[in-house]
Amino acid sequence: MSKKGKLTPSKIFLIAVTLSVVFCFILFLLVRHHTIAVLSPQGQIAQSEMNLMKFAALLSLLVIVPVFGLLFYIIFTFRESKKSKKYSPEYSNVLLELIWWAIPLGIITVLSIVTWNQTHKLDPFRSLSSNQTPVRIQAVAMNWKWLFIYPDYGIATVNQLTIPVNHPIDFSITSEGAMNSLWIPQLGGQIYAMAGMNTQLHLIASKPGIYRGGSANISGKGFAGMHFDVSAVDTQSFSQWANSMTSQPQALTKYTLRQLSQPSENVQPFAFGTVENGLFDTIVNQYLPFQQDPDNGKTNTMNGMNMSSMGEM
Amino acid sequence: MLSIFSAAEVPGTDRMVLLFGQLMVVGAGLLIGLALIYFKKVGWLWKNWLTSVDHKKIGIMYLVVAGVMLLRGLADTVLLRFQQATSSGASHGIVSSDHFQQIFTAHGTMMIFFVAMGLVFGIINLIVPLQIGSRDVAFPLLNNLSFWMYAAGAILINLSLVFGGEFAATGWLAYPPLSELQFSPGVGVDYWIWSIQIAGIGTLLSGINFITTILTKRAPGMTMMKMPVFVWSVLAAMSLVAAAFPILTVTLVLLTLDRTIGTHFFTTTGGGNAMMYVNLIWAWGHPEVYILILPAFGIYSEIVATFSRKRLFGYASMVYAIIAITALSFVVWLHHFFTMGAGADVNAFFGIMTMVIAIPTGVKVFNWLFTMYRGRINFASPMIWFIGFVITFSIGGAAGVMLGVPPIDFQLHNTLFLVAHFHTMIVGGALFGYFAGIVYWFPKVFGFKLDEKLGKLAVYLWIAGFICAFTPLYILGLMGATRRLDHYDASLGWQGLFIVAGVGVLIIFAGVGVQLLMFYKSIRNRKKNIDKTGDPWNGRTLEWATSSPAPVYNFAAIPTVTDRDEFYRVKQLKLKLPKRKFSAIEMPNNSPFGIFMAGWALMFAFSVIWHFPPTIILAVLGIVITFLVRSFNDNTTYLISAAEVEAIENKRVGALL
Amino acid sequence: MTKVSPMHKEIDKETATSLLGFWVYMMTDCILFASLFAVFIVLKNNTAGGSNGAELFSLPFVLMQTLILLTSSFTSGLAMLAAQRSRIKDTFIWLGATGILGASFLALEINEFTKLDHSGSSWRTSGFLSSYFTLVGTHGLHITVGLLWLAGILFYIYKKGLNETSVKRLTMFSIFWHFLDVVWIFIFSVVYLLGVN
Repeated sequence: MSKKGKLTPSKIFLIAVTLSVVFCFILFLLVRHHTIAVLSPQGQIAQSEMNLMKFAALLSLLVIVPVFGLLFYIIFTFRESKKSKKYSPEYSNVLLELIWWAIPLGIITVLSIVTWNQTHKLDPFRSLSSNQTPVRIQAVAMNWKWLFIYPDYGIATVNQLTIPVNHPIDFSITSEGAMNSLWIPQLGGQIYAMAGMNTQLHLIASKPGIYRGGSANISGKGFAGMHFDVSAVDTQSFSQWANSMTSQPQALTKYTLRQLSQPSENVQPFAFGTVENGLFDTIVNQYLPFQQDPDNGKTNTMNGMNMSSMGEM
Repeated sequence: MLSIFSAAEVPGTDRMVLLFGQLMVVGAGLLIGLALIYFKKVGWLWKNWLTSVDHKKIGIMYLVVAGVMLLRGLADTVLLRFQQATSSGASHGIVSSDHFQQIFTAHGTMMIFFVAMGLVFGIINLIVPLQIGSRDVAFPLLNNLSFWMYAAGAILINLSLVFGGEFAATGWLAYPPLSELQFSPGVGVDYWIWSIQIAGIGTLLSGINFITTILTKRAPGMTMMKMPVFVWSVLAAMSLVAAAFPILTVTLVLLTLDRTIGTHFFTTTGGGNAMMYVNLIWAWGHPEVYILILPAFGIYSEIVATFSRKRLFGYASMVYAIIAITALSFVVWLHHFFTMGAGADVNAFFGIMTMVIAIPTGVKVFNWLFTMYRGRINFASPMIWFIGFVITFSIGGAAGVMLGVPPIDFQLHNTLFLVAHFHTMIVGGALFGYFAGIVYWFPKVFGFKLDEKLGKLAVYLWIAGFICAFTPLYILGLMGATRRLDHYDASLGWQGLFIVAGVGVLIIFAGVGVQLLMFYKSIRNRKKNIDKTGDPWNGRTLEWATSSPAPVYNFAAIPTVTDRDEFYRVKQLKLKLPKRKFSAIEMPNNSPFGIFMAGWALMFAFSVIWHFPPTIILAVLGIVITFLVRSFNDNTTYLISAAEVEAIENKRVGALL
Repeated sequence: MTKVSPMHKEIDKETATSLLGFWVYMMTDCILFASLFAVFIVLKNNTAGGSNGAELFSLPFVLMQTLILLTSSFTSGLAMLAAQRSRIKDTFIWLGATGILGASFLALEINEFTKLDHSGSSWRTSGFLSSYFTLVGTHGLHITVGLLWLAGILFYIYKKGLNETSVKRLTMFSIFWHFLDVVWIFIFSVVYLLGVN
């Protein structure tokens, strides 16, 4: 098949490079005015996770760049039409093989050590060290909204969070039904919300602002509407906000909770001015494996399965 | 923007989309059925293809079904991309959220179980017996059964559209509690369960078949370390099938019991444990993705060596790498759910193991590059598929290494970054490999080459389309876009990227169109491109030592092997073949056993889905009786006389159907 | 491809291939049971307010089941020996004994399951009971299939005698039957012995 005047590898390469540059430019234009949440950390956890990402990406480049370089060099040097004199049909080289078993092994060893350390440091169950008082939030994934209970303030919100900057936020998370995942990318990574389980997430915001959160695991038809805004404000504003919420007319009781549990989508944010004690534990405990199936009539009370103790196994 | 799609729940267009899908399925079925009857081809089809136990015919049937399912899956892809490109702000696209969720569930299920697996089994059926110098697989009847179980699963998943108009809306792995009756009360999840359960049993039987074939049916002199690397990759993949698919079988049964009997394996109440499902399904699921990729790696080894006119670099390394990947694929499954909260020790262990798997994979890439080094590279389209693979797979693999670090995964899990990663692996890695294999081995199977110009154009469109479709998704993931969203706020600025991704899918679609055109044109011009020698690419392995297509018995005399790349060695040494003496060859008869068994299985599944006990019992009886009837049939082979063999061998020209 | 009579120690290539394939299938069946065992172990304590193993299982009863099944394995071994010596009458006797013992085992198990179900401990009661009934029930299902298979083999031998195919199928059945024995030992240990403590 003659290639004279037709698409030679060089021409194809040139076209590909041109198209790629144009493509990248278009993508750049599309994103430049918008937030790239994972790469715009507003808290220590997200920051550490991003740094780790950059480190891993750099290590990967150590492999990708030689691979691409070799690929293009070899394509151009040894293509049939070039009739290179160096044709060794039985070529073998044990040293080279050892090199590319060894180098990736080295890179992975380094990355493994970093992984072990960072996975422990950035364990979602791990409390953050800080001299500021933590704010406890109990998050319940429902169909299809998030309920956030502030047990120390006696209030609760739906599809909205307000938190003080520079204070650790200690989430305890569960679900009323299907698996969900609590995720506020600019503050840190996610963790699953599961019925009968109590998972934990420790985050902290370093700057005031409004950050987007949502559910990262499909839980039914309304799951795309489970997003919420997180307002990070200074400590004083937060106290004021919490106080003002106590005057909200709605009360969160076992009864109103059952009403709230009814399926609803795209729920507008609102708040509860009073919260019955121990509601979160009740929600977790209703699915205990030792506990009777509600259909059978008997009941039992035991502490819910705490995921952090499972993590230490 | 695009406010014609802005009705809040879009019930009108939603129903239209469903109706359109139903019409397509029914229409296609009717068209094919009526055409067969009109052209009086039903008997011919039954006798020559459907009941055939010949691995070559079974391979072709797998590829045909896989091709049809690819078009089906791509139709879903276009719907998905269109929805996500338009459903922003006030507009809610063209389908409801529930319907959208069914579409991507069906998309994933079809692409993995019926396209990728179909391509895998199609190609290994066509090539493995030829490459090891054998007449057929170890259990030809079982092979036919496996195909029909696969086809029955494909039929069932298409029936879901017509009968019930509902599929699972849970994602392709249907995690409970969402997939339990409480949250998925309809028949959708049941259709999902049974279509993959039936196909999965077929796969398991095939795994057993090919392991036995490779271990017992190699030509004399072909020791394990003289097998082509493709055969090694198949042995590895089939070992994974044998070890992993029973787990899927069990898990699906348990979910079925929960949904039909009311057991408590994964329910929220009564002592169920949904996390256990996640562990079980991924203990199967991770080996599954290696089942998809390993044969593709094997194909690349064959192609790169042939088209570089060089022996594969580092054969032993390649084999050890395959074995390492196979073994390691069993200790990484938890990386699919780092975010489920197993704790730092467990997460770190699995993260490290995940990265370790990157090592043998990287070794393979370098070995392929150095097979090309100091070779004389011919850039036929299979090689271009390979180059597309290296480019995309390297990036996707790097993304995978990042995802394998738990704290990084916490920010990327279930985002479009993840979606882009695994599509890069499966499309850029596996699919490109199977496309390359199809072009490479097409002349062997059908006796003529495919149009090279259109073939090359198709590759370029696929590569460009893929990059255009998935680069935006990597970025969207970083912007905080989770997967499976049917709608998002306009202020997020995601829509532009979704539109670019949609354009990418259209380019891929153009690539598929070119591929179809390529088949059409090549068939039209087949007489001009006949492969007269059986060896159109100057190949290295035994399959090229037969005519194109190979005769029903493959080799008149089973060759004796002394080296890797035996055929190439014979050619190089210009060895004179001794005057052959032909002897009679015993071949297995065709049989309707497979179709009947799969038919009963389909009846069983359909009856369970719709809770209709009479046909459940009928199906079980049918299975038992069909089995008994077959076991009393001692007349299962026929003889090809020595004279007939000689006549066939003397013709040695490619023939089409 | 010469056909060899059962008296000879060598088996022909076709039989060897079939047996290898069957062994590979047995390995997959092993994984199947391993998964069910894993599920049982995870759900062992999820009694959801219902009964646990100690309250439900009777070790003497299970011991009886075990002895019956082990004996049936023994008789199936004797049947194999008879078949390899082309002693068709003995083959029938020992296979018959295997069948009767297997059926007794099954009857006992069905009896126990029914009793449990009627006393309020069905497989819908809790995760523990779901996994118990499924694990032990899957074993029982394998026994049932095995007995049907045995009937088929008996009928085949009756019609066609002890030819190459009969011996091949009988060998595969033996492997299957012994395997079920081994699985039962695990069930006995993990489910019943450990469950009662």
